[in-house]
Parts: sequence; C-alpha cells; structure tokens
Amino acid sequence: MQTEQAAELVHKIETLERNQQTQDVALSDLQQAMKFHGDFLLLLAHELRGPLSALFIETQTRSLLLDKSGSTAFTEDKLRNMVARDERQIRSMISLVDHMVEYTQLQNNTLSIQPVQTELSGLLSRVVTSVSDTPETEHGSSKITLHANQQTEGQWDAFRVEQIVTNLLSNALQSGAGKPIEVVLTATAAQIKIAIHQFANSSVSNAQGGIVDLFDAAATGKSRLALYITMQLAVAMAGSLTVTVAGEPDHATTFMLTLPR
Amino acid sequence: MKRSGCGAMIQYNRTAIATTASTATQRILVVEDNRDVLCALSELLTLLDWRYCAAKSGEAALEFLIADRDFSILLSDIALPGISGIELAKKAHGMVPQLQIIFMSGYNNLPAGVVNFPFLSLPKPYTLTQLQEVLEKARNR
Repeated sequence: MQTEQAAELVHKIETLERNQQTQDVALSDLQQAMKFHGDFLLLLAHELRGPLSALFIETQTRSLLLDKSGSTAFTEDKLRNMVARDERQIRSMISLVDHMVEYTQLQNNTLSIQPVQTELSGLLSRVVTSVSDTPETEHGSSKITLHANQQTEGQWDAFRVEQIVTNLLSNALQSGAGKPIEVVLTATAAQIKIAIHQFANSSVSNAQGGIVDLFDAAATGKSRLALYITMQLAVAMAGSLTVTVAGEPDHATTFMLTLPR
Repeated sequence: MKRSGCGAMIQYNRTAIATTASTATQRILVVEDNRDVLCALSELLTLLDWRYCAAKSGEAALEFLIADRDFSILLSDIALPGISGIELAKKAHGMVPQLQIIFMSGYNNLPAGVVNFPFLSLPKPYTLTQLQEVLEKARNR
C-alpha cells in the first residue's frame, strides 16, 4: 500500500516537474517575443527620426530664411528643390509605415501571399531598371548588372518577390559606395536562387541572426528595418534569405534569396 | 559638376564638400549620409554663420581630416554606411585630440563606454535651439 502511494507521489511530482518545464519554456518564448517586439519598435522609432529630422531642419531653415530675407529668399529653383526633398522624406515615412503594417501582419499570420504564374528573369529585369532609374539623391551611384538569361517560370507572389529584390537592391545601393552590384538568377527543378552580390563593405555584420543582430549592428546601416521585413517575407513564402560576407580582399556581401518552385 | 538641391555645395561624383564664407574662427566637420539632411543642415549652419565642411560618409570625413586638421568640432551621425560615426570619432580623436565630438542619433542614448573621450549628444529630430546650444557648448569647452 505504501509502495503504491509512493509511486503515485513520484508520478505526481514528475508530472508537476514536466508542467513546470513546459511553463518555463513558454515563459522564455514569451519573454523573447516581447524583447523582439520592443527591439522592433525601437528600430522603427529610430528609422522614423531620419526623415522627420530632415523635415524638421527644413522647416526651421525656411522659417529662419523668411525672418532674414522674407519671401525673396525663395526662388523658384530653390522652392522646387525643397519640394523634391520634402517628397523624398514623406515617401520614406510612408515606406516605414508600410513596414510597420507588414510587421503586424507577419506577427498575426495575416500577411497576404498570393502565388501566381510568374516569369522571374523579366521581373528581375524590370526591378533592376526601376531601381537603377531612381534619382541619385536617394541612392548611391553603383551600377547594377543582371545575369538572368533563362526564362524561369513558376508559382510565386510576384509582388512580394519584387518587394524583396527592391529592398535588397536599395540596401545594396545605399551602402554600395559606388562599387558594382550583380544580380544572379539560378534555377533547379526544386528551387530558385536570386543572389545579390555587393562588392563593398557590408551594411550588416551578421544579418542572418534576425532583428536583434541587425539592431546590434546599429552603427553600420540604415536599412535594418527593411532587411528584417525582407527576411520575414522570404520565410512567409516558404523560402529563406541568407547573408554572407566574404573576407579580404573585397569584403563582398551576398544576399541570397531561395524560394521553392 | 551636377548641382544638388542645396545649390553648389555638394558635388555628386565625390563624397563630400561644402564651406561657408563666414568669418567665424571655428570650423565644423559635418557628417551625415542622408543627402537631404546634409543639405538642410548645411543651409542652416550657413544661416547661423558657422564655417563647416560637409561629408556624406565617415571615409570622406577622414579624407578631409587627413588633408586639413583645422577643425574644432566633429558633428556626426552615428549610423553611417561603411565606417560608423563612432569609429570615425575614434579615428578623428586620435588624429586631432582637441576635436570636440557631437553625435547626432535617432537612438535616445549612446551605450556607455563606447568611446573613452568626452562627447556631446544631439538627439534627432532636434530644434534650432538645441543645435545652437550643443555647438556653443562644444565651442566653449
């Protein structure tokens, strides 16, 4: 009788211990998720302060100019340049708001992914042309070369692929220091790979680690939020995005997007 | 040379450039990779009668310093492509120890112990008054 009671007691203790372990894991996951969320909000706040700063300085400069010289300080040329600068900052903030929405959708698993029949070499050609045509004031002056000669058909969300490649190219241009950028499309029966080789110092030191590592690399780039969203978009499409940084002599960085066919 | 939104102050195919005709004796080296912020800030410094050189990367700023060490203040963004504002400040301080450092950043606080010399902070976005105050503080140190 005593042996049975002892066995039952041991069983109860083991069950309690297992429950405790499960709770510990859940608590740890929750804490990580909360830290992650906090990091994201900090990052977003930091990124928003960039365009806000530009607009804030602009308004104060205009106010000072008005006080000093009245409306004569604002020639047509000057006004046009001001409007162009304002527009760039506003677009930058719109893009950040879009990232915020996408982040929330990714967290809630409500991000829309709609695969349709897509031809990737044509899509990449359009993206490269579009990004290359962006005014130099927004990006660096690196030349982008596309190597995608073969028609590559499959079922992908064309909008999301375009978004990912645009984000990666924008990031490469911003930190490219005028060095060349290559986009290479390769395909097998099972998957496609889009590699973006950036022959300049990386804007991220350890991008594979996700937002925390990107956040830690705060002093080395201004596209961390976009890169984070880009990585998550790749995952949402059942693919992956990896970043490798080569050593000497060229410190080339390769962003590799892999998607299943 | 193409002209940018801030007049003739920035040359596109190079990474730097700008000076004012001010008679102020102290000179600022401004480093900011966002061209629009750099243009607006340059214009503001001109209106405030500061002498300055503007660079859009840490590497360009170092080139300035190598060519001419006659700067009193380094006003630099922290998050720069290539070498960061912090790395730039360390190198600049090594080259010109009396250089006053001001970090501009969208982050509220710079982690403690990142540099072993005194510096001032200018959180983004900043007002004209905050900019003037921090520059005066650096000038009077």
